[in-house]
Amino acid sequence: MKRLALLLLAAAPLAAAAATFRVDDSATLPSEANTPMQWRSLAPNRVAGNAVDGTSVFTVRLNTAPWLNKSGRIYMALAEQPIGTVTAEWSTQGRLLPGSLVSGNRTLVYSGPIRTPLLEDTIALRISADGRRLVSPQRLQFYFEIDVD
Amino acid sequence: MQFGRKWRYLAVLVALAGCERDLFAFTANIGTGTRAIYLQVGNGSFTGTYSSGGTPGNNATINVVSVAVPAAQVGSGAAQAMTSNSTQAASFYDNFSFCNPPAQIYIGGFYRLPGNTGTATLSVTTSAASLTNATGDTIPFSQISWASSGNGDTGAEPIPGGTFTGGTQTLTTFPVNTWRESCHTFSYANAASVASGTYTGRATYTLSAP
Repeated sequence: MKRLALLLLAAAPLAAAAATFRVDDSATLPSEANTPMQWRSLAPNRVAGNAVDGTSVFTVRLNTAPWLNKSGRIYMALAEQPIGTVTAEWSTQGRLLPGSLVSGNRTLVYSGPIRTPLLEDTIALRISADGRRLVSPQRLQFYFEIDVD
Repeated sequence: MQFGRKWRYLAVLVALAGCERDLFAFTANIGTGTRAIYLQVGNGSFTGTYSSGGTPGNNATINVVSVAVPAAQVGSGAAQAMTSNSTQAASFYDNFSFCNPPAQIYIGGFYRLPGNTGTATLSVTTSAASLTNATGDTIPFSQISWASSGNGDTGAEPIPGGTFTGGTQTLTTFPVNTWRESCHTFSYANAASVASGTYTGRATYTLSAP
């Protein structure tokens, strides 16, 4: 009982203080994709400068069962990266919202009632980074959060 | 003992929290941009301009720089301005009219590499120590020099003026991820009296990176 009480005490403040939860997207396919990056402009220049771009397609599957029949806002997020600012833009098939995201931030991809236990959409993700700082391969881990009303 | 247990539970919670991100995240592995190098001497090819995302092309043209020295001037020591068959005035950097052909030869390019470090080396190699005519007479390549400038430029040119040495010589280095360009105006020193004829030689420019 002491052990159980201790665990509950430890968990209770976390649940009460935040209505934001990480969404299980482990069914997303592919879970990991190699995204070749190309210089936006083959030559360095004043406009496109030193940006590199790459595109991958993911079928995002969000397990929304824990919040079924509730209302909330789902965001896609990317932590700050050691290579500086990374920008992601995506288009969708309509189930999720298209948008863009700068590393260290999150962007709304769904708002409204959760009516199904699985939220699925295919997104074409275009990633941009500074090619001068991208000197070795990087793993960009995108994730989803939900703010429950 | 109780104190020790608390820390054990806390450690478990921390470990679970650390796992969450890997479990609930899809991953895009991004690689580096590819290396690229481009050099243009005289006439070049470019699809669009690179400030609009254009693409460099190959141009097999070998431009000619020449001068016809009047008989009365041969060997006088009065330098003779050379001219060229180049028509390249615009810089493909931004389509700015940078050089004044045919008097000037455009020379420029870039070195593309992921990261902030590294240089490419621009060098020129002459076909021999001297230019030769049909009967084997020679004029040392060192009789030919060039001045460097560019319309609108102030300060030192990235590819400075110089004189051919009759071998391979380094002209400058290009810092990584930069465009470098200059216009070269050639002249013949005309320091020695030589036999009549057409003297030819070739200077080949090379931009190389490790």
